[in-house]
Amino acid sequence: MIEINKVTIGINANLFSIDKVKLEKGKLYALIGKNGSGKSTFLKTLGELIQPFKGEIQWRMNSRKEQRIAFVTSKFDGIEYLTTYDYIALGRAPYTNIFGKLKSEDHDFIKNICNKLNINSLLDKFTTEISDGERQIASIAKAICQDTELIILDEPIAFLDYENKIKITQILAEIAKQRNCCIIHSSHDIDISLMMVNEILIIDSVNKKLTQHPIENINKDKVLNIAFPNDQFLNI
Amino acid sequence: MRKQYSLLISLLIIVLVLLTFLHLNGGFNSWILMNLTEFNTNSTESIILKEIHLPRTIMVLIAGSALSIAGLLMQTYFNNPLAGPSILGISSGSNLFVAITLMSSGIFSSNLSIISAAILGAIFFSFIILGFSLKVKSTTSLLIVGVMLSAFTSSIVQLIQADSTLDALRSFTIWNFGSVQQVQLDQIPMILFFFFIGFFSLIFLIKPLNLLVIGENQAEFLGLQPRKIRWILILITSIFTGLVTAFCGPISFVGLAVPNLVKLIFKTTNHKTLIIGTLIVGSLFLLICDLITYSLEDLISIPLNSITSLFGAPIIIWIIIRRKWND
Repeated sequence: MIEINKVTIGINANLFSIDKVKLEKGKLYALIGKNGSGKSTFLKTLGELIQPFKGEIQWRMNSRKEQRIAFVTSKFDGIEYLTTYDYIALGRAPYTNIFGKLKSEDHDFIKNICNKLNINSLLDKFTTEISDGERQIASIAKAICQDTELIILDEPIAFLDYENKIKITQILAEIAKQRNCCIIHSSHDIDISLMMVNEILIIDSVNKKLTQHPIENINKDKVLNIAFPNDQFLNI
Repeated sequence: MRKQYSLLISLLIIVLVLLTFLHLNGGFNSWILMNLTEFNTNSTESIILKEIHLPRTIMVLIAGSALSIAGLLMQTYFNNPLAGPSILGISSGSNLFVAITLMSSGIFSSNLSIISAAILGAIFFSFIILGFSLKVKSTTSLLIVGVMLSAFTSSIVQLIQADSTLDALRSFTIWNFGSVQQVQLDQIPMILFFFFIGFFSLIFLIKPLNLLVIGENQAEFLGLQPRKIRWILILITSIFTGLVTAFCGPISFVGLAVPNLVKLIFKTTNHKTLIIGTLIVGSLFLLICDLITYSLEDLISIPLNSITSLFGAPIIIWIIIRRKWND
């Protein structure tokens, strides 16, 4: 779906370069790298918020950006008096008219997604009343409602407990397969990623390279060696 | 849910209509409406009603709505429940520009030149605040910038005052009192014209405002065009703020307090409900404030501005206390 050939990522300086990365529909990708290695910058570039430092990402589509890309941030704190349903329903905004009126198809679409994610009991509650994990699932539901081919999540499980980390990564993997969309998320939870994603993208901040590895060809040691090449403590 | 809203809104409208008649009557102490047996244009009662009470009532209704809507738009845009036209210094921009206009042409300034100056001043100061908001991320710091802007502006106004003619000074002082009394009947069409321009543009702002609730960055991913919306919002808040400031002088706290009250009453972030609620409660709030000045009129003459502050300031402090403050 998206092919990235010979592109350099960075805002004012070269963070890392990509020789060849290919993102396909129906797969869940994990982006792994040190703090400050440029994970967020890469995701923002992919989300067309910023331009690549050099080169161009090939993704020729005619439709509007809001119907192609959904973006989920690492934390949503909830908003006073905003119900979970209304929050999720905002995901339909790219398809509503100028007044933002939801049609019955939109409501059906939203209810269908909420059924799948098993969050019907949250819908009438305010987003400030539910837990961090529930809020994160609501954010993912909103992104799915946007019905895009690409969903980008910036450290979606960083602030969650172990159970929720696994649950949400599992949901992402299922959604990618069921809805045949491409989901990419950055993460520091290498073990969870190794269990559930289809492919891992690793940023090597010493050699300034981003490499792509199908899950079959990689294990934890390899990931650590690429992501943290100079760190001796790993060999203890 | 929806049925509750319409019930609440109808109830508020009934109260608004009743108080509007009471206000038209001139408060509790007057019997104008009772004595008006026939609609004879020459009777004293109908002249008082038409020339004095009617413009004042219309102005109060419009000023309350306009200031409150300006506050609501700012609170949503800046994602800050304490934003408002007066605290962010937008009103002081209008104030400065009107001062310059009045001082330079004195009593000869036309209505249109005053209202244009007020709106231009509001637009100009909105851009200043917007510029600061890009640098200052903390919501409370932005408010301090607004307060400083007002302080800075008021000293400039004083400097202009020091160097102006007696006539100009007099017309400015009367205007600066912040009252709805001096509005004339022939000014009403222009006031209504500007109000309805802003009012009709609101219909097209419901969707963008609902998106802005989750923040500009997230809204952009859902199709919001931030630059376009920023321009429209500045224009509309400036029209609303400028309109009121031009004809009533500075009236503070209404734009800040009313949207917070409305959110508390309706408990929603849907701007369709919030806008309708703010229009009604805004009028209601200022109507009650002005009814108080009416009933105290025989004893003392107090500017409307001090009544709104008397109610508005405690409401704001209460809102600050009950919020979980996270910055």
